[in-house]
Amino acid sequence: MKLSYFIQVLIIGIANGFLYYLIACGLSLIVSGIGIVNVAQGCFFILGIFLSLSLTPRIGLGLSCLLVPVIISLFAIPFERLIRPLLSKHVFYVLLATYALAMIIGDVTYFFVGGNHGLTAVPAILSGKVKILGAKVPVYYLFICVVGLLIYIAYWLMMNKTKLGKILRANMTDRQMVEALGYNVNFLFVAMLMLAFAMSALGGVLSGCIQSYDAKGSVTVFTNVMPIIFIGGLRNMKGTLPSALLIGVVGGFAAVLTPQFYNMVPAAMMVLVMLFKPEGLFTRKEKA
Amino acid sequence: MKKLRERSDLLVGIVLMLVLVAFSFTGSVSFKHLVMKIIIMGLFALSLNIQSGWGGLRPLGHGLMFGLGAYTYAITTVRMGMNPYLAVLVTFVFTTLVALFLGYLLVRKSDDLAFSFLSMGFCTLTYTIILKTSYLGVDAGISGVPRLPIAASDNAVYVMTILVVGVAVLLIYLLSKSRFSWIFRAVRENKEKATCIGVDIVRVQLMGYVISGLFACVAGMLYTMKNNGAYTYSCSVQLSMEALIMCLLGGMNNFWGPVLGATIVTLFNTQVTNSTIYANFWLGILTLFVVMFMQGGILDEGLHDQIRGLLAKLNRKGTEKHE
Repeated sequence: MKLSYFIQVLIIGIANGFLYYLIACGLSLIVSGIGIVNVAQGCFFILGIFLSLSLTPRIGLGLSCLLVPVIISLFAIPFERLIRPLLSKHVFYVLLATYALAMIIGDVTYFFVGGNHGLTAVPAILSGKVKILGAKVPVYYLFICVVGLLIYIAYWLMMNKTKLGKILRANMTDRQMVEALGYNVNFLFVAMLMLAFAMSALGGVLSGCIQSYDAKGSVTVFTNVMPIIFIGGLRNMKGTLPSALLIGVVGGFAAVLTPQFYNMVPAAMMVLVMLFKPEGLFTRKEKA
Repeated sequence: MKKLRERSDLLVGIVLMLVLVAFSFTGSVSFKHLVMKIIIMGLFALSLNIQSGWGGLRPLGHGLMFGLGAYTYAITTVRMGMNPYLAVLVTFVFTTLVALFLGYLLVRKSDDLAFSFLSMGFCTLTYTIILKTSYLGVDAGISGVPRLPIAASDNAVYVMTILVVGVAVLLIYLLSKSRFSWIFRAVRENKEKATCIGVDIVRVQLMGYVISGLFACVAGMLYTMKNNGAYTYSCSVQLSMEALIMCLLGGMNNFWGPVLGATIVTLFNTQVTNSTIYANFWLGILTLFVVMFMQGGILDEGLHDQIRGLLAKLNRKGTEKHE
């Protein structure tokens, strides 16, 4: 394979990895922080796409990147209210409830949007290609990589350097203590959900220019993102970015080498990793 | 009278068999197909209940076993041209091997959340492989699958289905009274205590998984024979979720609970898919209703408790009024 082709596929894979990371980071936050798995995460990604489809032609991509996540994160408030009575029961009930919500939101989206959907137009400064080491790479993919990296840095800063981050991290290790200290844990859950949904929606806005999704495809998106959580380690938030990039890059290469089977890459990788290293590729084994 | 109550599960079974046999004298073929679908789904839900009601394992990908049974039978008869009887045997053997392998991978870590999602991962993996391979039928499925030669006509396949399902349910009933089921329940309740008394958790859970997979495979084969074809729905995550809802709705701690849940969900499903294209929406509403309000299941006194609570609230003559 020529070097230029390799670099093209690599960068597109990394960009896809960053898009996966945006959704997976939210999922990982919810798994570690609240202790449930949110099957409906894919829905908000798709809602982000469709909302940006209507908003971007009017206000441009930049504003839409800021506005759409804010709008979608407002969904977190009724969402948390709905699942609050289930949180004290077994995690299985919340799972079924989020699956049901995913189907409901999917059909409601289908009702409003119907079957026709296109791609949003890439803004003029971001279209075109750039030469890197002899490969022509579309600028938009580099833009996605940059935005993804910025979000990663912002998220890291928020988690480690701000007070809110400290409280959220404390919530992950010892929820009862945080409650005893007087913080309203329900508000914290809403905050986590809002963050997660906003990141998913941002992923949706960015991906709206390169790929079109079906209104009913939210469970498919979830099943593609779920392996990332497992490969990175189930309760390990630091493993999310490397495993998302890994899946993005492997998926990218699989798309050109075996085009027939490329969308089983996430599931296949999860099976492989579970065979050899069940606690996740990027978890450090606890010293006995 | 007490002996009658203890044997109530068996009595219900006998009554149901009589009703089903009586149905075989009606003429309508579509009604028979509907009844066949309900009892096949009932067997599927019962097989899931072996794992989740008795064992506490909650697989999100049990449809994989159903799909394995359905597709292996279809492939061996259509693509490889095997004799249908031999195909049934081959399906059994193949599904047992796959269930052993996958089951071992799933239970060895004893982490419940990982179990659920890994099984969903396996189910999705198989679903995407089937969806993309033309040998396995792509998204159109494999049609033209022959039924067993002794049960080729519609009436005959109906009688065969009720006989096979009857025998399978009887086997599950006998299993539920056996020592194995109690050990399985013990593992669900308290893993450490079970290990202390000498139970090998991985082996017991693996056995439960394989037995449950076998019954699901039988249900899958019957479904293919009924439809004369195997379609991708048989291997989907949606089917697995529906089976979980059936178990939850009917009651996981009762023997006939999953069958009742299967009846309700299948009837609901058929009605909704025939009336509107927003079938998923109504299914989602049903699931939400089941999960939020009926956590005991109907036969587990979930509905009973809810009604009792509602009546107590209405009849309350206290001095405090919650506005």
